[in-house]
Amino acid sequence: MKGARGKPRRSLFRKYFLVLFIVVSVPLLTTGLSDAWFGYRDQRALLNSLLRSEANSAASRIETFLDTIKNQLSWTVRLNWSADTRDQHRFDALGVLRQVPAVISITLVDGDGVEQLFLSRIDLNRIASGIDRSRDPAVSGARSTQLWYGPVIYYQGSEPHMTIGLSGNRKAAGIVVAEINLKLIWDVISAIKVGENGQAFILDETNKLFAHPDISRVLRGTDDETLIAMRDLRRAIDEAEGEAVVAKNISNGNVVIAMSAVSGTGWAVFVEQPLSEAFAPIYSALWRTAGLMLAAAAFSALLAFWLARRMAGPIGELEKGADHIGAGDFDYRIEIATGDELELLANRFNLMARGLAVSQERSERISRLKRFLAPQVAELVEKSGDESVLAGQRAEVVVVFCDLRGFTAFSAGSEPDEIMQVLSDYHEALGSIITRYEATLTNFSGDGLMILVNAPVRCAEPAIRAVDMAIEMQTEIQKLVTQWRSRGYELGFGVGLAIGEATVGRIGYEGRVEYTAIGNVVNLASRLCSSADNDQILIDPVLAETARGNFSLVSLGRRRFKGYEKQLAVFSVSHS
Amino acid sequence: MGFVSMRSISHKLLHWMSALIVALPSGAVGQSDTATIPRIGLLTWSACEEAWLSNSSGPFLRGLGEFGYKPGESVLIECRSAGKSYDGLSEAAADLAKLPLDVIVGDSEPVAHAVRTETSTIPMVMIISGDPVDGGLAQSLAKPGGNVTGVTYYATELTAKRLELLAELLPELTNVGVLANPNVAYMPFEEDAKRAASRLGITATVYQVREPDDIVEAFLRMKADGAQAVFVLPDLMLANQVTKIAELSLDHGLPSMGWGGWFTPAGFLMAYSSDYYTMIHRLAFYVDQILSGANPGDLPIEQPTTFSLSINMKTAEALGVEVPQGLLLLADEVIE
Repeated sequence: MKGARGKPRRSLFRKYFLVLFIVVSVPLLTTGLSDAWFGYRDQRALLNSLLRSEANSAASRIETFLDTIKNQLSWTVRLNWSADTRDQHRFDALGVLRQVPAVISITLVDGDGVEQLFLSRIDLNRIASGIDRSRDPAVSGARSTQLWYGPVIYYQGSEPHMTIGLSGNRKAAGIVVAEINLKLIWDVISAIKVGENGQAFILDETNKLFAHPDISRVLRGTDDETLIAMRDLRRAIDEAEGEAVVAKNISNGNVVIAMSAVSGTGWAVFVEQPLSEAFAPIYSALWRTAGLMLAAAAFSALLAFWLARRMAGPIGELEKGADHIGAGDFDYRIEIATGDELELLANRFNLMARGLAVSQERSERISRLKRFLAPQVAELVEKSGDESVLAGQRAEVVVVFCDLRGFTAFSAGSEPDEIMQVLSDYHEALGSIITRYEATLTNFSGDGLMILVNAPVRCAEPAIRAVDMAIEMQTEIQKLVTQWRSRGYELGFGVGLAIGEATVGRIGYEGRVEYTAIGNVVNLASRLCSSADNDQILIDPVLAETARGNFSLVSLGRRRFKGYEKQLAVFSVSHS
Repeated sequence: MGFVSMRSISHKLLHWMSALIVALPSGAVGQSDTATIPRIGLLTWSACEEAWLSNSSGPFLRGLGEFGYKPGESVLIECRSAGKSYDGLSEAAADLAKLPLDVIVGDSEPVAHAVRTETSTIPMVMIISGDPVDGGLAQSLAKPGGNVTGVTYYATELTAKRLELLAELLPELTNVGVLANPNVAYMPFEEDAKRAASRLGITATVYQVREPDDIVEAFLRMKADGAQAVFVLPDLMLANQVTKIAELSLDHGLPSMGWGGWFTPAGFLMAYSSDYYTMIHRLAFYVDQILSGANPGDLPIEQPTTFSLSINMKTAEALGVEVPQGLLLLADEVIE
């Protein structure tokens, strides 16, 4: 019973707390996490489409830049070459130089591929130089595809230039070849802003950087390491099927980057946004979710704590109450006002305690009664709930006295354990008989016993019952006497009975209550007992008169008893 | 020998110690000024308040303002003027190089050379008229590699181009008088002009002028030699004397060709160049980069993207010159 008290193996509070906490917080966490995940996905998708559309718009702006140049150049290849149109061609070419700052020089080639005019902002012009340009890549390229974009060339390893070739609708209108300063794309590219710090840049067909908001980056040239990084970046975006990817940009920063090709060239426009900025809404959403989840967890912990305590607290109270009640403190009351089943249970406990108190009081009373009443009589008296039967009254009773002959001499000459063994056997034998006959044992001192019949509970024919009991007592004890004698104990047993009116009732004080009878009949029975020999049952004449029909009596004549003036007739009950 | 070197060492030591003693208290007092506020040195040919580079409404300080710098507050400007002489230029450069400057800015190649002579450590942002690599100021345009960076503008190529434009304006031109300052003879302008002239079939005669006072005499010689036009080569002194040259040209009935936007308003018939105003404005970008921690040797030297032709029609009328349509078509600025 060690586990009955003290700490349980697993505390109910802890169990309740854990279960409640999990029940509250798991759905909250799940919701929060799924929200965060879907938010992240949405934001990624949004970012992707934003960067892609920015890249496409950037590419179309670059295309517009090139288209503007192309449209201006197309003015120079309207007219067929002849002596009459030479001046007009020259004016057209001057017009292009005037209109398009990016054009550094312009070369007009006639239908036969012969250079007719070369105008430059820096170098000396050439008029009708007659140089054969038909093998120039720009000329042959324009001849086959009408519009031809040359590779990006880095003048002195720094400034990006490009050659454009454009042929007229008719062969005779010739071909125009223009050298373009691509640094002017800077105006276009630096105007592209994505968010706060997002930017765009362009790589040529060999992955060299030729347009970037930081012009120094372009002019410095692209080193081999960057070339490889850019090639990988381009491949990564291709593999992602055009989706924006997270990558290192040209400054080795982490960015989200999208790409779009510039049609007609091998160029790719990249639009990037720093990862920290691009994901800032995602991060802030995640932080918000984390904060909410933390708050939710704290809230669920509080809730779980409160609920668990509400559950486990009353149970603790019940346990405490059970301890008190178990220890016999039946006045203890468990105070629980939860308004639920636990309160009902506490009320049950309280009722039980009250019941136990009543029952204990009763059993105390019974045990008190049992001291002088036969157990069944005691039960009866107790069950009736009325102890008035124990109150003092006059009643006709049969008083039975019995004791051992020669006990004083025996007790003087024997060992205590022998004496106690004899008394134990003796009392045991008599006790069961008295109980069976529902007689009342008023007192015993050593070997002497006083027994009442018909008090406090009345019975039918008390005289006969008393004599029957005496006979049985004598018979049983005689068996013991035979044993004792065989052991050398000189002991005998005598019984005396008298019937008559006596005052019966409870006497004594708190805790030491006895039931007794007072009256002449008691004295008479005592005297008769003293007068009886071993194996003799002596009765007085009144009892003899009553029992005559049922027993065989032997008149022993008249005897004088101490305290009695007249001699009394004494009868012995025969028993065998 | 030993004694001498010992003495020189102790001399140096003494110099350093005295420098420390002088520097310590002033350093402690002015620390917040010198330590946190960047200092920019400017070197100009003319007076500081006149020059485009240092003028408070000029392109450079306007450019700095666009980058968020406030002269006197977030940046300290130290300007030194050459006093319109090449000797003064060297002195001013030496003066500037002694100051604790974060960057020195100049608007011409002679300034760059003058400062370069004085310091090879202080970052320099310059307009370099000649080829910066040939001039020994940079290893390459992409990676200058030294302490000089800035803008360069095909000045030598443009010399030929100018002569061609002059020839286009004056189809009868056979003899041109070239004004040049021998102080900048280390730049190949004279040879460029002669080479271009021979390609164009023109005779170019160079008249060297060191001082403004020499100009009048040069014109007299030019006129005596039968020059049909005046061609001015890049030089700071000549650039400063545009009004005088323009007047003399008109007086002698000579069409004049200049190399900067300010020549035509002063009375020159024509000028062709990259836009100086834009280039000086661009220098602010380099200064910002350097003040932000960039190494000048890593900042590529840029070339201009815009060139402008300007024509003064009043001068043309006064000279009785008819300007061809082709030139008018190309001209960015026509002064009526």
